[in-house]
Amino acid sequence: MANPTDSSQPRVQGASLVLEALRKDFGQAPAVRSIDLDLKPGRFLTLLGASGSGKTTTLMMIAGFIEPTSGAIRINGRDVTTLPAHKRDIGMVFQNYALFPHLTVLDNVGFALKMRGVGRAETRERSAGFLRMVGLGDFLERYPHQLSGGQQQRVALARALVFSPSLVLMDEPLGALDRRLRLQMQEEIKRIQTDLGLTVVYVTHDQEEALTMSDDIAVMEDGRIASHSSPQETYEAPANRFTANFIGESNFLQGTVATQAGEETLVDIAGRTCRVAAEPAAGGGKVASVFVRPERLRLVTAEDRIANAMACRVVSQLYLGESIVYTVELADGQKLKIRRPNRGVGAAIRTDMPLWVGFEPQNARILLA
Amino acid sequence: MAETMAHANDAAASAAASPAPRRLSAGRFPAFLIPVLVFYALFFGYPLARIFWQSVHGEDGFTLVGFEMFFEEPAYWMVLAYTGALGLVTLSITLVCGYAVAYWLVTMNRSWAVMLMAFVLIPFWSSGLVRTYAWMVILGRQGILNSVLLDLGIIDTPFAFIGTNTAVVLALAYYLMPYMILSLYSVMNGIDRNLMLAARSLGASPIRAFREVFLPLTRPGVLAGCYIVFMLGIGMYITPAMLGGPQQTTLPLMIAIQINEAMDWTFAAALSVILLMVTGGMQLMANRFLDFERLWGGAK
Repeated sequence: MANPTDSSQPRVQGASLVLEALRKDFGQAPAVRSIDLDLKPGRFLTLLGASGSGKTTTLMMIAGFIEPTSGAIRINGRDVTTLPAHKRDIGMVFQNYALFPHLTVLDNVGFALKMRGVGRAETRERSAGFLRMVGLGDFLERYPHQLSGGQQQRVALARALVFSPSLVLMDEPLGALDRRLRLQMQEEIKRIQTDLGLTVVYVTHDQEEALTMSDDIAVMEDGRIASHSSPQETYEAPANRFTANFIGESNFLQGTVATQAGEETLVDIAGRTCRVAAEPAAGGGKVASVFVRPERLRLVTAEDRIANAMACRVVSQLYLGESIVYTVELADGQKLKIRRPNRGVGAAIRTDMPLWVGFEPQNARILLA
Repeated sequence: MAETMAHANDAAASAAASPAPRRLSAGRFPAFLIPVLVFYALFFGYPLARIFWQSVHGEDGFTLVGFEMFFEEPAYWMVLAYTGALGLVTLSITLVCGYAVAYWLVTMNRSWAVMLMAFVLIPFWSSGLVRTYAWMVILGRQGILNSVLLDLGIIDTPFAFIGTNTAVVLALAYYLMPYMILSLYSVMNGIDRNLMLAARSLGASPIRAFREVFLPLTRPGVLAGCYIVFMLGIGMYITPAMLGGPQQTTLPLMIAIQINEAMDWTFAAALSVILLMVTGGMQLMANRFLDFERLWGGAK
C-alpha cells in the first residue's frame, strides 16, 4: 500500500476531546447517565459495552446527531455541545458503511471536499490519494454496490478521512465483516490512525478488537463509564467486577480479609490464608472477592510448588486445542476455571491424583465493588 | 504486496457478495400460463386489434377519414393539448404535495406512519365514482364549500366551481394522490437514514444533505409516480365528465361523445388509437428512464 506520509495526505494533529457530565434522556429513560472523559490528542479510545450500555448514544452526541440533555462536549478546548453536526469537522464511519449508492467511489470520498467548496481537480486528486491509501486505487469509478463489504468499509474510511478531520468516530465499523477480514481491517485502521496521528473514538462490543486496537478502553455499563484505562490495565487490573467480567474470563474467589501485610493483603479462602496484591481499602473481617484470570491459576500435583496452593479436584475439563480449561472444586465447594496451555501428552495433568490450585500474589486482586 | 493480497481477497468476496439474480429457468414453456394467455388474447388482444381495425374502417371499407378529421381540425388538437396540460398540472400538484406527505410519513414514528398510511389508502379502496360525487357535493352550487364561503361572508353569490379547470384539477389530483404517495413512499422508505447522517458528518447542512443525497435517491420514485399519475390522469373519464364543463373536454370525453352522441365509431376508434400512441410513446420513454424491476420489488 502507498505510504500515506509521503503522498498527498498531510499528517494532522489529532484533537483533544473532553466530555463533561454528558447525559441523554430519551423520554423518561436515561440512555447515557453521566459521562466524563478526557481524551488526549492522537489517542485511540474504544467505547466498549453491551448493546444498550449507551456507547452509540455517546458517539452520536459527539458527532452532533443527538443533542445531549445536559453536559458539555469540548473538542480542542472548544465547546461544540450545540454546534450543528456539519460544522464539527468530525469524520464518521458507520457500521453499515452508509456509502451514497448514487455516487461513484471517487465521488463518495470527494463528498466532504465538495461540501467545503474545494475545486474539482483538487477534490479528485485528494480523493484518489486516500483511495490509494486504503488499497482501492483501481476502483475509483465503481459504485458502492459493485464492491465487497471489506472494500466498502475501506471507501467509508477514506471518505471519513479525506477532509483531514482531527477527530474520527467509528461505530462498530467492522461488525458486518467476517473474522479474517476484520482482523486485516483492524490492523489497517490502526496503522492509518498511527500514521496520520488521528484521535479516534471507536465503538465496539468486541473485547478482542478493543484490546488490540486501543490506547484507552472505556468500558460502559448502563449509561456510565465503568472503567477507563489502558488495555493492559483493563485486563490485568480491572477497576471493578463488571469490567473484569466484561473483558476476558474471570474467577472470583470468595473469602474473608484477614489482615494487611505490607505489600500484600491476606485473605482466608476455603480454609487457607492466601496472599494477594495489596488492597488497602479492604479492612479485616470484610468479605472480599479475589479476582484471578483462568490462565494465571496454576494446577499442580505437589502443594509446595506454587504460592497460595489450595487442595482441589477436577470436576470437568474442556479441550480447546491450544489450551485445556479445567473446572476444579475447592474444599468449600467454590468452583474455579483454570486455563492451562496444552504442552502435549507427556505434560497432561492426571486428574485422579491429589491436585492443588494456586496463584502468584501479584496476579490476584481484591475487588470490592 | 499487501495491496495485491487485499485485492485478491476482496475480489473473491465481491464475487460471492453479488450473485446474479436468480430467475425462473427459461426453456420449457410453463403450461399453467395458457389459461391466462387465452384470457388476455380474448379480452385484451382482440378488442385492441378491433379498435385498430375500426379506426381505419368506415362504411365503405378502408379509410383514413378518422385520422384526417383529427389532423385537419385544430379544435381537436386543442383537446389533445388540453388533455396533456391537465395531466401535467395534476402531476405537478400531486408531486409537490405527495413528496411532502411521503417525506413526512417516512420521517415519523413507525406506528403513526402505518396509521396515516391507512388514511392515504382508504380513498384508494372506494369507488372513483363515489369520490367524484363527493366532490360535486363539496363544490356544487349549494355545496359545502359555497355554504361555508357564503356563511363567512367571503362571497355574496354562490360560486360556480363545477365546470372550471380548478374543480377538475382538484378532483384529479385528489384521486391520483395515493399513487404518487405510494410510489414515493416505497422508495423513500428504502433509503438508509444513516446516509443523511453521513452527509451531515461530511459537512453538508440539512438542506444540502437533502439536495445532494435524499433527493437524487428518490428519483426513481419521482419518475415512477409522475409516470403513473400522468398516464392515469390523461385517461380519466369520470372526473372531467362530471366536474368539468364544455371547456374541460378531454380526449377520453371526446371519444365518449363520438360514440354516444355522434355514433361515429370510426372517428372514436381513431381518437383511441391516437391516445394509445401518446401513452405508448410515454411508456417507451419511461422504459428508458425507469428501472421498473428495481422499483417494484426486484433485486437491487
